[in-house]
Amino acid sequence: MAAAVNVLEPAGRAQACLREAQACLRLPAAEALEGAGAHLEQAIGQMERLARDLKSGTALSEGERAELLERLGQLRRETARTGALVEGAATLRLGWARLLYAAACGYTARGEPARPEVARRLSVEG
Amino acid sequence: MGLFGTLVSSTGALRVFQKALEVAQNNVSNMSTPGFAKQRLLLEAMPFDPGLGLPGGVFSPGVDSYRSEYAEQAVRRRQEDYGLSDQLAAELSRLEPYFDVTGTSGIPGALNRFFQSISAWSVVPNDQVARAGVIEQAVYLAGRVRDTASSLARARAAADQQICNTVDSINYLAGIIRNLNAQLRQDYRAATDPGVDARQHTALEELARYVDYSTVRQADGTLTVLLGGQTPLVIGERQYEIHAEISGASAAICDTDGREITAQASRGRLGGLIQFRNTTLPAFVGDLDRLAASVADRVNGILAGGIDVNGQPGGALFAYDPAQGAAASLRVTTLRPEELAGALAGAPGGNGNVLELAGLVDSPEIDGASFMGYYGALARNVGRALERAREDLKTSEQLLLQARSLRDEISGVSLDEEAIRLVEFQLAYQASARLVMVLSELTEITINLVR
Repeated sequence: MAAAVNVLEPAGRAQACLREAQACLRLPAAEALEGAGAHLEQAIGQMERLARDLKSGTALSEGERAELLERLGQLRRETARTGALVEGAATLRLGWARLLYAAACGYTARGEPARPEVARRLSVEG
Repeated sequence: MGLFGTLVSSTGALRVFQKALEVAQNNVSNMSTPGFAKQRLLLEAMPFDPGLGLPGGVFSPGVDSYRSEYAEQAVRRRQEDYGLSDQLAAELSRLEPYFDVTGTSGIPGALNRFFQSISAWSVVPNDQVARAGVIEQAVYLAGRVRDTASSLARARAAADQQICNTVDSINYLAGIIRNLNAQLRQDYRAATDPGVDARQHTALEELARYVDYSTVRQADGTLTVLLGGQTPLVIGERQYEIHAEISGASAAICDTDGREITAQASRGRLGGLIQFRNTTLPAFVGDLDRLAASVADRVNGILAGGIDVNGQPGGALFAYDPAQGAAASLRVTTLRPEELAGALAGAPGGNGNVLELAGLVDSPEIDGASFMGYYGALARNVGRALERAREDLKTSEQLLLQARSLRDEISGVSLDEEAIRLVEFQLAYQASARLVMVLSELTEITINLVR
């Protein structure tokens, strides 16, 4: 039973971390991405621990193996969803930033939003 | 600048601040109104030059909305994805119960029973009871196949009805937008009415749940709505209704003139329904028909190669009508038990042909899979399609929340912000009100002095 707890627990914790990350990503803001990043790092730590346990030759019964596989399948889906949310947040923010740049600075000849330029002035004193 | 000029300037400022308070108050009152975007009063300084008699002051050129069309578009695009995923998941959920994967009921259970009856017959090839048992299980198998086909037909009918309902909803929402366009054309004040703006955007967001479209705002504030970016739904005060054609093998969406525009409805609930009705479901029906036809043809083929108890060539046990679909029309013929060809031509009274029938249970018959294996793959495909749809639904729901959060951040009403604005305007209003009161008293004193 101790072996079962050691093997299944990291996957469950990683899933919980991913859900926390997804909750952060409901707001497509920089702070949200930073918060999500912290949870993702924790999820990675749990998965590294799981990989170490499995590599060390932890014995698994058929039932434990089946349950672990199911949890890992769920984890995969949650990871894909978290990735989609990160991409979605980036898409929204990038689009908004482009709009703001265009509103503030207009467009380039290629139709891209222009970036603000730093004004320089040359004075000659003699 | 004279005293009256100052009075005029202060009175004008008071009116502006009064208007600003009304705008802020309206924002707070409508915080929960669907589609409402907070407004702000635009302020501009008037020219001030006492030497030229310009009294200065403040005036308002009008009210501006905080609404971001970028954020609104982002929400609508994700609403379209959500609508598609939601509808697809709902339709596939209806199919799941019809495909048993446990092997104990439905088609797999019936296949098991049929081949078990053949195994029993192989032991006593000339026993009438065993022969009758095979026919009985064949009837049971045909019945389960027809049941599954009927269930898929009911799912198709349900999808057809949903398509009609969805088209009605689209036409209804387009009607709301058309009515708002009419209001905008008839009353110029509607262009700055936040209520009209809120109703417009609410209708647009609701419409995005049903179908993908694009909008063009005209100079008079009216909206042109194009389904799939191509087919007009609303232009000015005119609406162009779409309708569904569901009598054929595929469901079709047609515009007002009867032209087919099905391919343009690729997202939203309508896109999901069309995808399910015209692609996903026919694929499953086709696979089921293939299974039914293969079972019938192979069993009949083996029986035709043997002889019955009277030494006659074997007759067909199963029959079906390809025009109606093999699964929907699969039935057992009027073959009697003694007419089942259990023996090979060269060994009358034997069980050679029965053994060949029994070998079908593990034989790779369809795409390298046995009948049970093929059915299992079909059931797994249904399950996988449903799982994918549910995953897509969860993801699209969260992406929609993301877009709404961005929209609220940009254009939503925040109580904190409005409270601060109210305090700011209240302070400015109080200051201007005091100035007007002082000037009024000074004017009375001066008049009395002149008298």
